[in-house]
Amino acid sequence: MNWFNAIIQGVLVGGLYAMYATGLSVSFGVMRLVNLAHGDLAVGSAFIASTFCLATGLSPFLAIFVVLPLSALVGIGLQVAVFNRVVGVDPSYQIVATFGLSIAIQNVLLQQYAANPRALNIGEFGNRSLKLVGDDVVIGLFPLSRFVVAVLVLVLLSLFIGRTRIGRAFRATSDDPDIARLMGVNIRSIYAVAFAIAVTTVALAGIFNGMQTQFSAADGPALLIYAFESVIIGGLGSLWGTLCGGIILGIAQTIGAEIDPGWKQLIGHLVFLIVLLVRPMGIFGKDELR
Amino acid sequence: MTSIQEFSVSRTTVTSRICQSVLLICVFWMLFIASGDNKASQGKIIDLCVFIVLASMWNLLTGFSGLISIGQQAFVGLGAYSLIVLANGVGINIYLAVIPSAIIVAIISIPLGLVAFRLRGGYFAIGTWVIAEVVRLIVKNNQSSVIGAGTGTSLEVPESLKSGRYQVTTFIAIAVAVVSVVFVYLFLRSRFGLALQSVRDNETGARSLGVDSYRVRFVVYIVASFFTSLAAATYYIKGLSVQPDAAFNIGSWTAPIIVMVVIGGIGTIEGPIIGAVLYYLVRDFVSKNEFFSDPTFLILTGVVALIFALFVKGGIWGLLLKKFPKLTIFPVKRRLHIQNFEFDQRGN
Repeated sequence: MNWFNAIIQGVLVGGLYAMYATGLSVSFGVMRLVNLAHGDLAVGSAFIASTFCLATGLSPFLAIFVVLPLSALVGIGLQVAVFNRVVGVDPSYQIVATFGLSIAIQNVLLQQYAANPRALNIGEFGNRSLKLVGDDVVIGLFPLSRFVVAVLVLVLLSLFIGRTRIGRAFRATSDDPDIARLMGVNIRSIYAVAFAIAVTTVALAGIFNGMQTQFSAADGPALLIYAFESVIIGGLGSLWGTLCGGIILGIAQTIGAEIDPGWKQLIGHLVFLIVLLVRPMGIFGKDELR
Repeated sequence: MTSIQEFSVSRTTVTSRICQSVLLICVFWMLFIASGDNKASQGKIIDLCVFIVLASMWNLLTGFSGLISIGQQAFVGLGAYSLIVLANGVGINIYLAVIPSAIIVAIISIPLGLVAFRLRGGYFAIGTWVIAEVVRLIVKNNQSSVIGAGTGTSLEVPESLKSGRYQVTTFIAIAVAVVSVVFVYLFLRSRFGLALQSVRDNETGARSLGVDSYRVRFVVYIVASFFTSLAAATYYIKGLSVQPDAAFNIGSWTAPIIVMVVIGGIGTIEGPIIGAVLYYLVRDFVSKNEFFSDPTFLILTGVVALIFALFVKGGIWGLLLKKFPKLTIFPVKRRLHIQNFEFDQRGN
């Protein structure tokens, strides 16, 4: 059993979980929207990237530049067609609508791509690794760069929300949509931008996931749960908290897998439940959950 | 000003009495089939009754208490496994084990609720799902011979009970469905039901009038767990074989439940019943039609749920009420009659 290695790998996976969670955090922060189809959007993007690679023979890294703008458009489209109608109404309709969307996306993928798992082949790059401390601790170059990209995305996003005009409108809308509207903020376009960001980040996470492990049509719900747990462990409304939440979840899972392969998910869930019982506002959260 | 000489307050109306009689006839018709020999029809009645209970309980949680759960499969699975433990493990008669297994699940639901109630709204919903996943994984990792880990196990039916199992199970299923619906009806008419709906409509307002909103919701959570596992145990007397991945599956339990309630009409007693019946009629039709593969049916289910949640919030029962405002099967609100006039609570 190599605990140190498990922790390092957990941290690297945690970066990916944080990237899944960012979109969930942004859409909840800005419009109090809980999107149950979040994980399915990630899986859908990975499938589209895979189709693109098979059709053109190009590298999955180039597919990112095609899929991400597409996901931004999908995000805006979904916001206008679906989510604008459920923002601010009774949350049960939100849950039912996004749950219906989730079932529909999953089964469209199942019908289109069958139940066989797929993977995005990144060739030699996926096998390269750095050796630390002899042969005991091996860091894959790809997981490491993925972690760096995840942190970079979070840095850019927090600069965007903290420093720009649109970011200020984000924060204002989050605090009080009615007052923000009175001050001249176009709420609907803010919602569209927020959701475009949510879908783009989760699409990137989905593609990164597919570059390392296999994915199949039914994976969406598990990804949604990991994203959700990262958000809650870290604390609502804090992007850096989300990164820490993702890392804690990642470490819990790799340590669980080290003890017994069947316990990987279970230990992750249990850590989440313990945080919920001991500190319901999350590790970095300021006020109570709303 | 004319003085009010004669007035009376009533809940039941002529339409409600007629509708209730029709419903009663349906129950007797089902009882008639239950006493017969047609196993295919009996199986359909069991499924329908089980899902009427599951849908009514999800509706009690979400439609009447504002507790959005997508983790009902936790109580379905727990109900199934409690039955297995009591019948296979302890050796209790399979029919007599149904109610005790539901009581066990109701007790287990208390600690689960303490965790879930840390979250609110949409996050409560995902929280209930995580809890269901935790329970599934714990069951799946349990290597004892009674539970059977990931491969699951089967309910052992003693030789003496083998004949007539479908008949008895159909009777139990009908009884569970009738008791659940009547319970929801009486529950909502009670003082407690009024408190419940006031919490859903305006929590701050309800609390300022002395309603303990946490306690009220928690009681509903336990009640819903009890009836959900009661229905699940009934289902598995028919189905017999239990696997953790199937019994705790969100797609085969909670997804249809939500679709049924949304189609029928969320927040009404009649909605879940109408939705469950419609869902079964459509699924029966679809299963005979080759065009509809399983994914196609599920895509359709998802899209219908989405469309109803966006555009037809009241469901089919809501649409009917708009056309026929006096229509009611289970009247909850009171009506005031003054001489020849009649008002309901909204003053119509």
